[in-house]
Amino acid sequence: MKIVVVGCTHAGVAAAKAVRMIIRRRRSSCTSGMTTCHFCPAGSHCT
Amino acid sequence: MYERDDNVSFLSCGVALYLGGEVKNLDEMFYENPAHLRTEGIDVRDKHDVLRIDSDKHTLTIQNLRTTEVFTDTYDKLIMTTGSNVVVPPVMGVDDTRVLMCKDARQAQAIFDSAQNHHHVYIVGGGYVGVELAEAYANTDHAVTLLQAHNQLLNRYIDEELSAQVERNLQEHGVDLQLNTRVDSFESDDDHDQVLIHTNGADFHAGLVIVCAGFVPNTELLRGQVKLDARGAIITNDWLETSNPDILAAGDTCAVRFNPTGKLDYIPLATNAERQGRIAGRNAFGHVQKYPGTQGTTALRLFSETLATTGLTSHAAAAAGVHAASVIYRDNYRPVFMQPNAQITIKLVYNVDDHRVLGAQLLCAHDISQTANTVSLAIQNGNTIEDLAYVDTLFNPHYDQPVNYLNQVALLAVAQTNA
Repeated sequence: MKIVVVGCTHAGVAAAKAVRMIIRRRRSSCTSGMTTCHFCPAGSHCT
Repeated sequence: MYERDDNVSFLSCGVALYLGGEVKNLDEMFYENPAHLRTEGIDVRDKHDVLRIDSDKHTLTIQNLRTTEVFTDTYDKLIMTTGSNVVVPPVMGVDDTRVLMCKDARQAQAIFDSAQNHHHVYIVGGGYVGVELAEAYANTDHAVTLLQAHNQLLNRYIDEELSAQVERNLQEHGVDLQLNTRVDSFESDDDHDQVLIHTNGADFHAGLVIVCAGFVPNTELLRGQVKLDARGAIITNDWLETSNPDILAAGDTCAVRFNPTGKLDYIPLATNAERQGRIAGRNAFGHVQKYPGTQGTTALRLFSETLATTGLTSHAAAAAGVHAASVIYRDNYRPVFMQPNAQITIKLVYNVDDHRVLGAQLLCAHDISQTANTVSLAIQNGNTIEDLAYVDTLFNPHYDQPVNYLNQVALLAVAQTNA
C-alpha cells in the first residue's frame, strides 16, 4: 500500500512517523534488530 | 511526503519567543528536518508543490520547484496535512510592505528585521498571537499599541473577568491597549515611510504593523472533492477519514470535535495537529484509533503570570445555546505562611442541567498551567462538578492549600447549584 502525506506540518510529520512505525511493526521480514529505523542500513528501502 | 517549502515542522507558536529575544536563533523553532526524516525511512520531497489532487483517479500532480518538472504520482491512502494560512483582513492597503503577517519562519524573520528599525510596534488583533507579540515587544523596550476590534482581549479563550486582569497586566507594562478598535483600512504614507491605520476611532501613524487576525484552513486542493465546513475546514469522522475514506486529514486543515459542545469547531492548535497526525497515520491502515476530540486546552505566559484555559467560556456557552453557569474562585494558591505567594483566579464553567464540567480559565503568577490539563481530562471524561469537588488531590504547603484550588472552585460550583 502506498501512503502519501501532503504537507510537512506538525500533523504531517506526526502522521508520517506513525505510518513508519506501523510499517516497522508489521514487517515480519525485518531482521535488523533495530528498535527504530534511524540506524537501520536498509533506510527507506524496506518499504 | 510532499512539502512545497524547503523546511518542515516550524513551531509558529514560538515566534514570540524569538521576537522577544528569549530564543536567539530562529532555526531552533524547527524540531525536524528533511534529512533526519529520511533516516527514519520517510521519503521526504521538499520543494515539491502539489498542484492538483484527483481523488477519483487517486493521483497527484506535482511540480518539483527545484527543476520545474511536473509529474504525476499515485496513492492508495492520502493524508492531508496542509495546515493553515494567516487571515488577511479584506481591507484596503493590507498589502503595504509595512504591514506584516505572522505565522511562518519567513514572516517571523521579516518582523524581526523590521522591528530593529522601528521603536513603535502596532499590533492588530488581540488573540493569543497578538497578546504574545505585545508582551514580547514590551519586554524589549519597544512602544507597543495593540488594536483589538472586540471589547476584550482573548475573547475566544477567556471571559471578561480574567481578560480585565490580562489587560491591566499589559497596561502596567506600558502596552497602549485600544479595545473596540476595528481597522478599516491602511493608507501608505511613503513620504514619511509610514502607513496610516484608519480605524472606527482614531487614526494611527505606524512604521511597522503586525496583523494577527487568526488562521484559515489551507484546503484548496480538495475543494469540491471532500466535505468542508463553512470555514473551508475538512470535515472528518472519528477515524479522521474525510468524506472520501481513502483521504484522511489532520491538523489545521480540519474541523475538530469540540467536546464541551459535541459539535465541530475550528481550533488550529499544535496539540490538536500532533495528536491528529499520529492517529491519522495509524488509521491509514484501517480503523485503529479514534480521535477523542478536543477541549482546546492552551496556556500563555504573560510577563510573570500564567494564563491557562480549557473548554467553554461563558460567552461561548451562551452562543452555543448551552445551559451553563459559572463560579469564580480567588485566593492565595498556597498558605500565607509560604512566601512568596500569589493569588490564583479560577473561573469554572459547568452545565446547569447535568453538572458536567465545561471549561476553566486559570490565572496566577505561580505556574498553574497543568491544572488546565486536569480539567481538560475531566471535560473529556464527562466528569461533573461533584467529581471535581471531591477528587483526590495532593496537599503540600509548597504547592497548595489543604483543599486544592481545583477542589475549591468546584466546591463553589456545587454550593451554587444547591443554593
